[in-house]
Amino acid sequence: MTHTHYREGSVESLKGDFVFVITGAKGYNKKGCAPRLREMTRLATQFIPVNMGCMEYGNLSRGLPAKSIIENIKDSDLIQVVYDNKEDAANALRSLKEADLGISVVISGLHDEVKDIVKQAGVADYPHTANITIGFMGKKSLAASDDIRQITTMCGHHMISAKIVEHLIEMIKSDRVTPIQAAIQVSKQCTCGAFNTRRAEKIFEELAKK
Amino acid sequence: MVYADKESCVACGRCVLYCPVQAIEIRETAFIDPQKCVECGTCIRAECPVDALKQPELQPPRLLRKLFSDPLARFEQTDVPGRGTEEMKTNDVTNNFKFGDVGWSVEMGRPGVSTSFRDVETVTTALAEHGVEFIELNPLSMLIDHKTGKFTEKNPWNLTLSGVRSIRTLSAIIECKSSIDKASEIVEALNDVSDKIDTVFTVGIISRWKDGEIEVLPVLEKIKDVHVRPNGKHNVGIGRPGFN
Repeated sequence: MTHTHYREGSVESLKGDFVFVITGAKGYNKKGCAPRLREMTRLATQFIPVNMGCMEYGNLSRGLPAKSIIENIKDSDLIQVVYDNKEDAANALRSLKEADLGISVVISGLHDEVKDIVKQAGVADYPHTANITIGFMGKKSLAASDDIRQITTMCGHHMISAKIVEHLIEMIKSDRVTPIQAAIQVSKQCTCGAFNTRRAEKIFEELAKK
Repeated sequence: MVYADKESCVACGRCVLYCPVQAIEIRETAFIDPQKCVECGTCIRAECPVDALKQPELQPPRLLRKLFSDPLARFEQTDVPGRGTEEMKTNDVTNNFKFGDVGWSVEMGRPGVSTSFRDVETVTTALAEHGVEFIELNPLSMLIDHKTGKFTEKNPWNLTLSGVRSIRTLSAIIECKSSIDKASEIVEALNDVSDKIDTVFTVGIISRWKDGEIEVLPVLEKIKDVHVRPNGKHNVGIGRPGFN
């Protein structure tokens, strides 16, 4: 699971958030796929992602260079690459399609925007399979506020605590850190590299004004 | 379980801020509540200034907390990092979800609340009553009887029922499948069971795109008080099997 479909926020904010996941299929094309994963990640990296990485090795937010991430990719890895705009995402997908390496790619984002990207990249008129969500149920009072979840849900495995987000908002308010410094600090907790640091910067900036 | 070394901890409180389940408090030094701690490893990765947090090797059932909560832990049985399966990420290759199928990923404890396995069993039991097919290779599926949804002692870790029920994790993903004509009934069942648990869960719904639309969407839009979020994840369809 990558949990990237549970990202919360306004439609306007989600327009700057596209997460690619590249992975082999167990029992079908996973064995021996590492060279193809590396090539696809190398291609995707050319379109200036705001974050990228894989869980077990690390990601850009934790200070690893893209070259090192790519060199260390294994058959079993699940690669994440994040873009903050539709154009880069469409160009990256076109490049992956043209490389024709047979490995699955998933894009998280607004349904209509991803549909457009798939068409613009010349893949098809629409995607193959969707994973959509109807939000969450249960004792909702136990969850962090809507504002805070805009940040915390960007870490697929929910490694970012509400407390650190609240703390950093107060730090921004008192001019002790900038929004981008806050975004980088929390992004280090997201081990897989799905966190969108650029979007987080904007959200921190907005929340600190409240 | 993870603990703070009393000799080196300087009680700075950094780990308190980073813990996603508020399991840490500062007494004389950092104290980690063993009931609340889900062994997710976040505090270890939070760059303790004196490296006071220690993670000893864990044994079941405590080990299961880590396997379900720490994305860096790997289930040997699934060969997938994290706590779920490949689900729809490789569906263009596997065709596990066909036209007319609906996949369900009910993630207990998300967003950011954590869950007891007693609550997990309440929901798996409710789903089993509606005849869902639990997905093989999902770590949680390995702990339950697929007909009843109840925990079973026939599990890879030889855990007793009380051992399984003692587990608490940051989240646990129930993955199952049904036909599209059962989608409304299952959403209603989830809605009903959501009042019987002491946590939260997210609901992810897998469906094929068909003729330019997501096949299950019209069904969901007819259910009262259900709002489909505008974003999701989409397998774009460039994978294929056996390619070298």
